[in-house]
Amino acid sequence: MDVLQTSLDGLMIGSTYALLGLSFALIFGIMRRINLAFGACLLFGAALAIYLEPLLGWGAWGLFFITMAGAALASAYVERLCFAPHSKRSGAVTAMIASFAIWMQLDEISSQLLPQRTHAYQGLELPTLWLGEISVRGDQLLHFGMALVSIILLYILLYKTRLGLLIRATADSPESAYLLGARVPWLGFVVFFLAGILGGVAAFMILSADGHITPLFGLWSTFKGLIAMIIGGVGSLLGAVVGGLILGLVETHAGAALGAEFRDMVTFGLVFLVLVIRPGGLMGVKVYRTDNAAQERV
Amino acid sequence: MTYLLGIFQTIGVHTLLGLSAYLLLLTGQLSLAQVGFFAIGAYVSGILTVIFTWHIFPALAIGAFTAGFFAFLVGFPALRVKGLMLVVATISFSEIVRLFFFNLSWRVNVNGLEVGPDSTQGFREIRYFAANGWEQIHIVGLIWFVVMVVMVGLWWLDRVRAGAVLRAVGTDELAAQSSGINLTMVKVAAMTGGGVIAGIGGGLFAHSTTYVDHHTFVILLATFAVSYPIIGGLRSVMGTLLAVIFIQGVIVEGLRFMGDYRNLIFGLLIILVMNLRPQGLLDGHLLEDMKKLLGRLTKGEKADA
Repeated sequence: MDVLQTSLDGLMIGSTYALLGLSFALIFGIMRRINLAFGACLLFGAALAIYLEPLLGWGAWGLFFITMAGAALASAYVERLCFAPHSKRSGAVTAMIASFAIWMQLDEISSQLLPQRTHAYQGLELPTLWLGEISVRGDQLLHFGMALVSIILLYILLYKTRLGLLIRATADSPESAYLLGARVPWLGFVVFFLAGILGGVAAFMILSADGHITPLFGLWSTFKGLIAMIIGGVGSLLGAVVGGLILGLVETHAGAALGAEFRDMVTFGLVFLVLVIRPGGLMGVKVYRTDNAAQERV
Repeated sequence: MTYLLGIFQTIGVHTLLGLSAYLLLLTGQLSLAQVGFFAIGAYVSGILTVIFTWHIFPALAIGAFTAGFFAFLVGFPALRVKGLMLVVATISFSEIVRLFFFNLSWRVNVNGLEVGPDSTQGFREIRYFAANGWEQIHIVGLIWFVVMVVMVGLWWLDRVRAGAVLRAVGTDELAAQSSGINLTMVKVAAMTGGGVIAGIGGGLFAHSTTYVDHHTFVILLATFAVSYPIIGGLRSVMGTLLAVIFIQGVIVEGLRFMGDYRNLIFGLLIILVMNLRPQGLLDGHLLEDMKKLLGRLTKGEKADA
């Protein structure tokens, strides 16, 4: 019974990791870059929400929308400053260092908005559901549903609309997409914005379930998103979702079996193993397995 | 004076960190494991001087050796992957090391005092220098002596075949492999060398600050380590030193009066540098120009004579 309960908790947490992983997969898919400032963008969104919420008084849903908007704006800002000027292949390392600088900057703005070490982050008050001996927190169930809806909306956007077609074409081959008339630089901007929105949703889910926020949240979410994407498979959106769920399951089971101190060690050990044994991740797309892509440097 | 020496101390330690990343960047590998090696060097040499009451020099050497050994071990599996995957693999390594020291509690009674790493409380009693009558100027001298030795070593490396091999792997792996270079060997050698340099840096850092804990060894520090050589430029070993002075000396210390807003300017300045000089502060053109200028000056002297 305990195993079942732990697994269920793991899936609930995993759904938020899946969203973080999806954001990374989107950015990596179209840019072939990692965005070190991603977590800082979410932190900025959340900080802005906590700062503005008392002035507006919109409650938990206000927090939700401001977090989302703030994260999306910050993410777009990162794209303009760090990734758009260095879109050539040789600019990869430069872009990463630039995003590192923006990470410091956003962290600083956030700590200006959140002067104390911990701040309360209002959650949704929902009753806990009991199924026999298994319990599910009401808000977590709602979050799970939100994650599911976000993923379905993203799927529709990417696979059923013209914009999605353009994004997928650019991810496949930026050069040919550009030659066929896609505005590739603009699409990069759109994708960062989208990733910011997804990340903002995830940030709200995580923070409102915890009930508080610390300045460490930024780096923490960067790690979780990166790990979810890596385990699942680089370049694959489905992989990022699966990777997030696996990460949630592994974390809760390792935490239950070995204690909280070793939980993160197990997670990072798993990442190292996956990378060494199967560098493309569990469901990595072929694009990344070809030699040409493997030669690419970050 | 103490303040100035403190800055020199920081710049020295960070230069070692930057150089350890520089060596690996020559082969085209971007690694964030440097901070893991740095932590290993710091803790191992600290434990040796504090718990086993060793002399500082053998302790530093063993710390560096241990860090190099782990770099060697990690190098084989990690360097099979490239690019983004290598970044993530090395992040994982650094975090595993950090979490290991986060959980490490080894309290021992030495001369009536309980000392040693105390998991979350950190490792507080690394007072070798103070206990043995070293003054700050001596500590700074030792750090800069090590920095000079490492820098001369890396400068010399660029003048022998080994350096050319490293750069060949960094420029074009396929071409390097076709001319008979063993890629894995070269990369693991660079990783091990970087590990040794970071290990010494860690040992010096732990002893000069007398206190380390897991917060010191977060990924942020590893990002700093790779930023130095990239911002400074990979063409010359001086680039790394220049970047450390620019970041630690000018931006971090020089902007201290700005208080909390420093990091905002910090981000902006780095972005500016990366946009204006994508090949780093000290890029190929600048080096050529400087050589020409130097040549003209020496020629002028000869003409005078």
